[in-house]
Amino acid sequence: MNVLVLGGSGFVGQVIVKKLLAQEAFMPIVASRGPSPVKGVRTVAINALDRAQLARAVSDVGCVVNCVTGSKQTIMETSESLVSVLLNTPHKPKLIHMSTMSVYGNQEGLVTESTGLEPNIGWYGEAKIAAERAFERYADQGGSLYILRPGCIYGPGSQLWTDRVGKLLSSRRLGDLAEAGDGWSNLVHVDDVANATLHCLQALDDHGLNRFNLSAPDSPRWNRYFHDFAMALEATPLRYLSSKAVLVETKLVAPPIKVMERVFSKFRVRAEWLPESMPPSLVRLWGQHIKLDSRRIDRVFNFRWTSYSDGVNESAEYFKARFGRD
Amino acid sequence: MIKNAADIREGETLDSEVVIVGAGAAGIPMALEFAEAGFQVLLLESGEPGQNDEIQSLYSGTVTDQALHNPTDTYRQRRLGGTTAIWGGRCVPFDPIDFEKRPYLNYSGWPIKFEQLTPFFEKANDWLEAGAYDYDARTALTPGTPEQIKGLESVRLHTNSLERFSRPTDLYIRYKRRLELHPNLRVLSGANCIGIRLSEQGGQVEHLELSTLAGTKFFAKGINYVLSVGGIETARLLLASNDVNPSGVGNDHDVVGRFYQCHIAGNVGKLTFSGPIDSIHHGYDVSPEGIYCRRRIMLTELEQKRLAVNNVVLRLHFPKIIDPSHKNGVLSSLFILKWFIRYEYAVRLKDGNEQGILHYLKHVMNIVTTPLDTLAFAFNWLRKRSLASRKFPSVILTNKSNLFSLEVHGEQEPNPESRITLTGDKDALGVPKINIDWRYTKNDISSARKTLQVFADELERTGLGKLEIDEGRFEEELMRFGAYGGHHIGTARMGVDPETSVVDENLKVHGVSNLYIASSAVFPTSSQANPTLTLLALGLRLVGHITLKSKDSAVQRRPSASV
Repeated sequence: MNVLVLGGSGFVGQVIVKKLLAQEAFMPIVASRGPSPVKGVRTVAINALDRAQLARAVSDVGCVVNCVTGSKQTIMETSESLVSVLLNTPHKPKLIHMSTMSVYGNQEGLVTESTGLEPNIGWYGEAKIAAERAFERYADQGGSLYILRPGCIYGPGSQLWTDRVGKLLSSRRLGDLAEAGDGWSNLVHVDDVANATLHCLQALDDHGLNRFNLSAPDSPRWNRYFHDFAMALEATPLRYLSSKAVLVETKLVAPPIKVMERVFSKFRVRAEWLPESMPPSLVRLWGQHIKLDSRRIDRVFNFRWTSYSDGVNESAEYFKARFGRD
Repeated sequence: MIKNAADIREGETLDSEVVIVGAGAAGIPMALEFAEAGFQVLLLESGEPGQNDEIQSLYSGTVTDQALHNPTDTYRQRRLGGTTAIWGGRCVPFDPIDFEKRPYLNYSGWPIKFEQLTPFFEKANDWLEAGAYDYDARTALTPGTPEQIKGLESVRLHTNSLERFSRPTDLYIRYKRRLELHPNLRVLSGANCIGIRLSEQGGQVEHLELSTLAGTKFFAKGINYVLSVGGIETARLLLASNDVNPSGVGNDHDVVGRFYQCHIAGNVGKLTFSGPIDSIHHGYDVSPEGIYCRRRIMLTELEQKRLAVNNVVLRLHFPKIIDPSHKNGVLSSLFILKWFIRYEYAVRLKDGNEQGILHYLKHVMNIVTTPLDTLAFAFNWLRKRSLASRKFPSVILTNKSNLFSLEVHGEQEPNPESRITLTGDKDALGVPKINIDWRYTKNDISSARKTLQVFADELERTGLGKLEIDEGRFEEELMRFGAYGGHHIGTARMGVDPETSVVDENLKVHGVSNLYIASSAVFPTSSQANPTLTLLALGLRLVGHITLKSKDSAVQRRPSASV
């Protein structure tokens, strides 16, 4: 089966493509305007907003995996474009949409897949909710739709939850945050996200809408992750940040870094040398007691998760090889 | 959910599966672990967030010898978080020897072994944010961390024993959000337990009688009840609940309130090291996980047994603060500022007799003549203590002269005559007040003295220094402040024999099928260690026990809905 992976050159998309490549039953096709990031994979150069191009690309695939990310506009327009194309295909390919836990907004406590969505923590959550709503139309009209809502995807290559956290820990700007870091991390290893995608692809008697939260059952609270990752990186002694120190990071340090990132981005200048920032939205997440209930995917697919300790150790090895130690 | 009892109606009964009295060091973690295990939990707390003088005054009582024991409303905090709101954060597990029956120590021996608590010590370390459960400097600290006393190798002394320091964590502040969110848990503040009401035959608790400060009476009914209040209040509640059994709950054999122990603590001796100044490393180390740790000096277990002494620990300490001849501006600052320091911490700063205005002037001179030292100390204290999330635990001075005293912290011999009793007076809610008659024994003093002698002998043998003790004033020096405040132990001791104990090895009150006690009150002996870590470990073990017992009795637990 041909599988079109939109956003296949991104962090999660690449891992999914590699996973598919290792399966005889599936032939991944990466939708990308550049060369394929994964060797030996067919690439189609399409603009996902161009419905004619997209229709041609999906005409011979049995499944579309949507890993598109970007701005609010990109996410929303891509989903609208994709759903309108799929609705007009005669063969109704399966659609697997990579959503996010951000769709649950600022809710706390245990959230299951049937918990209501809350567009109240910024544009990303809003865009992802809009995308889910758009794709639900496809399921309503007979399409097979899988929505995956991963927590924080970590592991080798994760810019947000491995690279950024590792850099902040190594520079001792991050550590234990006490109650401000007591929220659940909802970490999910990128391999588990790819495996979940594969399970959805392999599901035979599927129809309609299926939603799955993705958060490893042993993923700890953020303070524990910071502790364990710092120990694995030998970024010791672990720092303990007071609320005042966090305030300095979010109010004084983060804004100029963000401004510089945007300026450099506007002029298409690489700015990897800029230090990591801790914006208020990030700190808010670390203190949010939201726990994704992932038991549904366990039940449906007898899912096997990467153990948290293996994931942390693997992430640390990757980080040390890539960035060295400060 | 956290609510205040002011909203409860007169005569209302609150039902739950587990009812815990006391939201302190053990109560909060136990409540969260019970809830996590699927139990419906009601956590009752007399106090509110923060100190309230009217509520705190419910702790008032009398002390037989005020020179030997602090007032009854000090060192204890009747509030959400309990005494963790003001504690110093020192975490040390009890030692294996503490659990043994020692023929030379009256009433010693626990009904459980050290190993039975090990997994719970690990969890208690987590709850109290004290880092890894590793109390040996050789493995807990980064390789290359200097020894405390370079070259002191001894088969008689253990010099790598560590104490770790909590943030210090106020458990209510730290875990408040968890308490608010857990769907299986209700926390009720302003709910004073004024009586444990037993069934007619006294074999089980029927309900707890509760009252708000305003006088609204209501009840809590559960399957299992856990008293998780301090070592003094435990005895008070058991003794005061005497409607069915006139001697009180669990007190058929007049054991409740007896065997009251604290710790033998004081600063003694003049210790002079002979080597270079940098051969002494008397301050705190920071472990890889960022925890302040400090080495102590104690006898090996073999040596304790050979000398037949109680378990005692020694720490290197600065010279007497009150004596301005130390010429140290920092110590003089502490002496003068003691009026601004909280009672519980200031009380031990007055370590001698004051001698008038001239005496104060000498201290002022010390500050004036060493202004840089004093300013540097103030700056570091502000940075590492006042403004820090993890606070530097205590005052440590730079070693400039190789001169120290020794801080002794020792186990007490359990003594049935050292006791808490009820008086005729009652508090605002009608509960009898207590009297504290704390006593120590000659063995307590001689154990400290013998321990110090071993250290003195080893210093002499190795040529590393000299320890001088004023024999004539040793007991007076050691007992200058009386019982070590805040460590209230032994008033509802564990044991297999109901004639000499109050609770069994699973903390269940003898003869009462559904009443448990998770408190330092249940310690049969006091160890050299501070009690908080061990009392929490016992409480967490109790959660496991009740969970297992409930499974055995085929009570179906709901799946965890962890938040």
